[in-house]
Amino acid sequence: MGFSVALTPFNLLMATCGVFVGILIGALPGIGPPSGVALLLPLTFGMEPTSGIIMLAALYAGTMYGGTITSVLINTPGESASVVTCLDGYQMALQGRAGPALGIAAIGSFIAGTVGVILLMLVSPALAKWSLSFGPPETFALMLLGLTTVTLLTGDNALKGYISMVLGLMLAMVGFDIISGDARYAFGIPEMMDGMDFLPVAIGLFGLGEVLAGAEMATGNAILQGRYGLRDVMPSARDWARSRWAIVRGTVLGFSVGLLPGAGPTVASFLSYTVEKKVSKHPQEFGKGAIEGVAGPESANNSAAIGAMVPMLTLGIPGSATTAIMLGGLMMWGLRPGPMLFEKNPEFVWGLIASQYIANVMLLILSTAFIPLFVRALRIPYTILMPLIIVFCITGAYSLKNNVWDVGQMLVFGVLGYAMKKLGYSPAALVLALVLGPLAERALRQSLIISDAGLGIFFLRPISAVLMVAALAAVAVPVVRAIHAASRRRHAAAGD
Amino acid sequence: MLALRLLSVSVVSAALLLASSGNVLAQAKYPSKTVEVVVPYAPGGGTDNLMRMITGIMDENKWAPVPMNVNNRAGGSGAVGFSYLINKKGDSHVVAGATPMIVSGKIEGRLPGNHRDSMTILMIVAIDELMLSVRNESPFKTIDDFVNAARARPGMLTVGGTATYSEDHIFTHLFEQAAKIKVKYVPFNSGGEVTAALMGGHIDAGVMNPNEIVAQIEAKKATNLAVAARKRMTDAADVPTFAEKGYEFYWEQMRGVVGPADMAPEAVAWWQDALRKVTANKKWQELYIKRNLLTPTAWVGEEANKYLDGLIGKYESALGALGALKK
Repeated sequence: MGFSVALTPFNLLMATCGVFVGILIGALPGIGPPSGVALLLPLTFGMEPTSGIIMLAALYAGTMYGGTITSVLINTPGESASVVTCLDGYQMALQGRAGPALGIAAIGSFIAGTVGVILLMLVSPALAKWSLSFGPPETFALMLLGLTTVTLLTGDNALKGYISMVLGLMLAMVGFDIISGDARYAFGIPEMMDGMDFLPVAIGLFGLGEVLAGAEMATGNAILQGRYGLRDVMPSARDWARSRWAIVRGTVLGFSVGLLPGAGPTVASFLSYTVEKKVSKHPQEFGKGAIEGVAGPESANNSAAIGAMVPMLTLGIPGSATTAIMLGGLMMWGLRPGPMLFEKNPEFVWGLIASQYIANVMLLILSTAFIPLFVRALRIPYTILMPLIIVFCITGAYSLKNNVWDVGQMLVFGVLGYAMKKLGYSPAALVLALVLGPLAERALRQSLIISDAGLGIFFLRPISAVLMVAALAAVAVPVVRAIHAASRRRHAAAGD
Repeated sequence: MLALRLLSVSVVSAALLLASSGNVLAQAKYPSKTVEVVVPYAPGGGTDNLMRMITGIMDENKWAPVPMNVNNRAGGSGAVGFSYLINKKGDSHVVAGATPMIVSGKIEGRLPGNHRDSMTILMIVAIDELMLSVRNESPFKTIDDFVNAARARPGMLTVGGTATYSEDHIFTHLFEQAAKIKVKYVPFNSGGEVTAALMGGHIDAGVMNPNEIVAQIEAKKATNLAVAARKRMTDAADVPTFAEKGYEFYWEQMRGVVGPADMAPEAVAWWQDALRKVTANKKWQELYIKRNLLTPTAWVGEEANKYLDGLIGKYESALGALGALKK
């Protein structure tokens, strides 16, 4: 029923336009999915609601992918959900494997998107109920679990990883504290009252930091030598074998996280990365160009984006910034998202679901067609590419809120990123803490208000208890293992 | 389509240019260049919706001879956007979507001025009511049930709302005073998160704007216990007011459009006229007022200023009692 609505030539054209514009918007750092959807929303008001939402859904899918392109090619995340893709995607690009990185991201996104839509179609009401069972204590436990995985992001030196994380948590404290209503560490500067915006920090740490580091050994050579055709884009059989299960895990994890209020694609992508590193047989390759480190998070952020639609459609509660804007759009078309939408406007709901399928197919076709073109950017000699990346970082930071402050912030974090890279600290751990920190803090304090400061609230509720135990284990197990290993060494030494 | 529109814009602006060059001595025509429409909050929020609705209707009916450039200058709960507007003193080509922050910002020390001394109020277009809502599994079926339970267990019931020292927080404070009860106020980041926590049973009640809860009400999953208005809402007449149940307090959020201080008189007149046409438009009434269950107003000039003056005392005493005003 949905497909007959969605598959008209006009709607297909809208889907194609949406994906195309979305890729471009997503590739420009700063204009992420929320602003992209907000900018194009007015254009859709003249259309039929179904055509409008098809275009928006396609645009959303496109922006999610567009952000990946710059992450992989120039280590500059186009939007927050593709920050984690920088870690291994860019390393792959440096090894001349930008094509497979982008290819696996497109395939992963396609699979995750398609599976996500099927889940959305079949089990929405039950999932919506599950998502509501996540209150502040559950949210805190989940975020805590996410933070404990930080050492996984950082490679060899756990201490440096924790230092980076603490720095990130400190930065996360800046700005209005919604519980006490005070502006913390803002020094009376209005721009700092809303806290450290995540994207200028990430663009600076990764994009600019990388350029600064690269400038030291810059030569006139391009990163990519030789020819690059459609065949070089496709991941090899070995890539595929390594990524297969990462995509499956990313899809499931992403969708579940997307369902939760306030979490969304960025959190999903980070959690997926840490899961992949944890289960991998060769964790030492992560951060050095492991394809699973691209496949998992890229699948996760896509299925999270669709997961976020479940609470939007079935409860009328937006799960992310982008769905909040789409929600506004739905209301402009005279639809009221919520428990009654499936009953009152079935043609619209099925049209939307079908449009997600179409958007995914379009995305796969367009992205594979464009990858060789995008990858060609790497054939520009690095001495020319470098200033271009800096321009890109600056416009990206500015376009976020039309604010020069963000540009300054990006520059400061660029220098910090360079220093961290030189000294072996992990920018990724800092960024993870900056993403999860505010969510964790808020949920912790909300829980403690509800429980009158009793800690029982985290352990007496089943979901929260399981997550808390997992988080504590994640910290305790490596410590116990280290002590065990140390004592064994001592025994061995004594036996000599 | 876009090309056509660009063409028509350039034709119009060329015509304007000719007209103005041929008539230099006459009073400057307003608007003479692109108008910046500042939204001091993020895309997708209530103020963003409002301003995009207004500019959308103006575009559709070609009431504006120049482009309207909507800019989200979010930050500091509106402080960034409103400070930007205040700094544009005397510039008639910038306006902003207004919230009660234009009054409370100065009191809290977040803004250098208010509607009287640093801005020009163009129109208060609507009033957003505030209600106390529960989910249907809740043991509280009426506002009396809730108050009685709160009296029996002082400080135990939880009420969720958006942010601290916000309209929702003040609502809870005024309710506590009026009903002589004590509850635990739990701040969330957005109205959507409050609704999610309410429907999941993590809080006992939530402070809601009507449009935040209406989907749950229609699905018979939630109930509005009472609204803090002077009379019942037209489109939700079954919800009693707090006052009629014996807990007398009134609290609401206004929505409007402001310009900077010293805006040219012809600019003020032009905007008042344009906003009158917008608020009389059928699309406005159907898609904005009715859908968001707002109370329509069209207050301009002194009427609007007096209304805002009236808020000053209320904010001062409520924020003072909540401890927001540190000396």
